[in-house]
Amino acid sequence: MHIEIRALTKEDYRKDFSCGNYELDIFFQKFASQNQFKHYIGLTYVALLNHKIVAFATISASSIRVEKLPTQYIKKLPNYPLPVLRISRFAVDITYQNKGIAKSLLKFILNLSIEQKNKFGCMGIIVDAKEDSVSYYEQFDFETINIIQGQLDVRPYAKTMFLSMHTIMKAINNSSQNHKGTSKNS
Amino acid sequence: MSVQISAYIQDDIKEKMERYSSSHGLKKGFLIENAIEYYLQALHEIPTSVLVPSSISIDEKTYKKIEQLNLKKPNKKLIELLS
Repeated sequence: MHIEIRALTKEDYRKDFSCGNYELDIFFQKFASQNQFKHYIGLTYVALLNHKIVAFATISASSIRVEKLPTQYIKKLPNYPLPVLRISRFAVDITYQNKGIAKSLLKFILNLSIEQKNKFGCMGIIVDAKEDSVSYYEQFDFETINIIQGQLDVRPYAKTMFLSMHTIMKAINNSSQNHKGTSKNS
Repeated sequence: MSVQISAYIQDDIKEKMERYSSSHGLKKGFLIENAIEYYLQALHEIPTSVLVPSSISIDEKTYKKIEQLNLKKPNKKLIELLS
């Protein structure tokens, strides 16, 4: 199964997309393109199977601001918001769920966060997860965090989850060590 | 008729506003009024549910949790995903 992942284009046909969540479907069909091409406030990546869009993820560069920190921490931190990559929407078409498409798209985004780290700085990934998706992200080391401000204005509120860039980099190093081990053995 | 409003804002936003105000010779009230007007106009064009706030605020407790998460070893599934 070959999955192609690329940025959304104006010409992409989106009307048939249905993930089973009305809000996400409407977002993708009506606003994803506007956000990207008119307002420049987020970029949507799509996963295609046989030229048909089967999943999408909308991301944007974001930041974490720490409020009321005690002096000992202020000294350790830079005097500006901490950069992160934020996944605000993520959905797989209902017909194509449980086929590993979400995994491929998530992997693609994790790699984008590494690219962001290398180019502009990125200390981790934030995902706005719907209640029933929390366990999906937890299996890949995302953890729920409490935030004071900056939630998406959706109902019910999405859970904010975080995956540290340190953990991502350790995973990359571990996997490359495993590969070296495998190639030595073969 | 003009009315006075009061609000708490972040230090750095205040600094930016003051810098812009003095370098462009604009009154702060004019800047604030325009900013609010533009913001409300933008909300008419895009529903709030579609907007992604540009930053997230956390407290000390969450920051400490993030520090702990930075030390966390990746699990098998994450390693497999990135291999």
